[in-house]
Amino acid sequence: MTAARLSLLSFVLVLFFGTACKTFVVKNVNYAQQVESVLTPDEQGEVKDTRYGVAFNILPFQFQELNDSSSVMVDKVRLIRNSKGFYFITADGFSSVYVMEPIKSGLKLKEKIEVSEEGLISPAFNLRTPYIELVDTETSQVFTLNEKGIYNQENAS
Amino acid sequence: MKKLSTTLAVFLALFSIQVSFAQQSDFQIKEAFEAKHETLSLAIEDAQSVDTIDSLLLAIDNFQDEYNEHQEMLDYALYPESYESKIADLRSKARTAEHKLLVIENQSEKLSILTDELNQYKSELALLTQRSDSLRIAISNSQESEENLSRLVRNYRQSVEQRDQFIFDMVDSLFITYKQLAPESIDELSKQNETGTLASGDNPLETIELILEENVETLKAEANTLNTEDYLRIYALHHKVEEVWNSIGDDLIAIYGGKNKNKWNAQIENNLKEWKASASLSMWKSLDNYLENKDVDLGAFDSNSSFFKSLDSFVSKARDQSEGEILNNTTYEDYKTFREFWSTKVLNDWNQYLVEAEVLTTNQIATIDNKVDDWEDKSKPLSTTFIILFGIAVLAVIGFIVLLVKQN
Repeated sequence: MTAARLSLLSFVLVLFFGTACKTFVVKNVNYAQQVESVLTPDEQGEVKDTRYGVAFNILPFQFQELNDSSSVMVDKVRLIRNSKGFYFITADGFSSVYVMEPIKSGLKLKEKIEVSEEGLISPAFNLRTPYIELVDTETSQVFTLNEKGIYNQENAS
Repeated sequence: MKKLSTTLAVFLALFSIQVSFAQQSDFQIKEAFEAKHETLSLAIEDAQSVDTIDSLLLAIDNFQDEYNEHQEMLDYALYPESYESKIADLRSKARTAEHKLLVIENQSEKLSILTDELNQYKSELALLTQRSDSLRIAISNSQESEENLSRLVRNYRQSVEQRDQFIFDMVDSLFITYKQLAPESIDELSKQNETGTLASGDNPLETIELILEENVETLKAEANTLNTEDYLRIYALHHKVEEVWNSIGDDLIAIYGGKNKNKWNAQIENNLKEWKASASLSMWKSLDNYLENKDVDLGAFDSNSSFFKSLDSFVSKARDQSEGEILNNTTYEDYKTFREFWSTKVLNDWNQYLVEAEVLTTNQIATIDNKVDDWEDKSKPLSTTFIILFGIAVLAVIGFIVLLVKQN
């Protein structure tokens, strides 16, 4: 009887701690990058942000925008991360901002935010927590973004 | 005008960056901050005056005011540096440059006074050289009586002596002034002079070169009008100039050599060597002739060490030879001849130049002097009175002994 009770107790404890370990989560992590990274692609389209430790290829993004990934046509890639950890990526000539979620060895599209039909001339990101501000410094257009799309202050209020 | 244009350029550069971004991103603010920091930093490095640095310190204040509101973002963006550290870096650079420029302005003032002095020296030296040259030419062309010729030679020797003394003083003045220059300012002064701010003719290297050339020429043109003392003085003068050149020559070349540093160095070194060879040859030859005329045979010598060895050996031998010669007068006569040369020339007329040129050191002179005194003691014959008195005393003793024998 005692042995059976002990076995049951051990089983419950193992189950409890095992479950607890699997669901160990730290909340309120701030992933925000205070200043955007401006990255220059190499001949293969690879961009590397040494300060924040992220590297990827821009050609898939270029293909999304221009349907062409035969050669690198992007001069500078703009990259910023919001507090939730989503990457906001765009470049000169892109008409959209790509919100990417980090996954195991990859970036997964969370949202493609279309901001300009003609394409951005000189885009730049600013962190305005909890939002990301997109500025086209040539046209002085400003967009407030989050991972879901363009944030409309009028609608919000 | 140059100061104004530098300051204006800095302000224009800062203003142009400021107005070019109507709608800025944080990244652009960071880039603009770094560009302005770089512009100010370069302006500080290029600053040529304390006034410019003062203007730049004001520009740094404005720069700080302009970016204060972005401090937090900049601290993050500039990591591992920070907004404060970048501003502090500019201020520190400006203060260092200001200190350096203050030293240089002070040194430049000193140099300019020295250059004026040097120009005065140069005119004076030219007059003295001209006078000596005229006298030398007058002597060589002279058909005048012996009395007049002797007067001309005397005047010429005095003129050369005056000129040499003048160079001694001038070299001293050069040495003292340049030794007061702060070592860290030499590079800066050199840079200033490389930019061509030094007027032609103000270069002390030219004056030194002139002195060397004229001295070499004087010795070449000289035709037995100078005496041993004159040659010793010229030899001592060379020694002095060489000593000063070894001490400050590198600095003078660094400051005034411009783009021809190696050329100046080689030219002056060569002239110094030529002057030394010629001064040394003339001096040893003249000294040898003088001793020969005085019947003092020291043997061969042609350097400071061989001259001392000859003197030492001559006096030692003479002293040893005199030992035991109580009644002989010959060695004492030799002693007297040498003593006259030693006392009047070595210890008196030539002493200053012999010591200055290190022909003989004070210790060497003292060593020989002791031996000469010893030589006197050993060579001095007994006086006649002493011999007579001694003879009388001997006779008296003999007489006394004879008397005692007879009484017994």
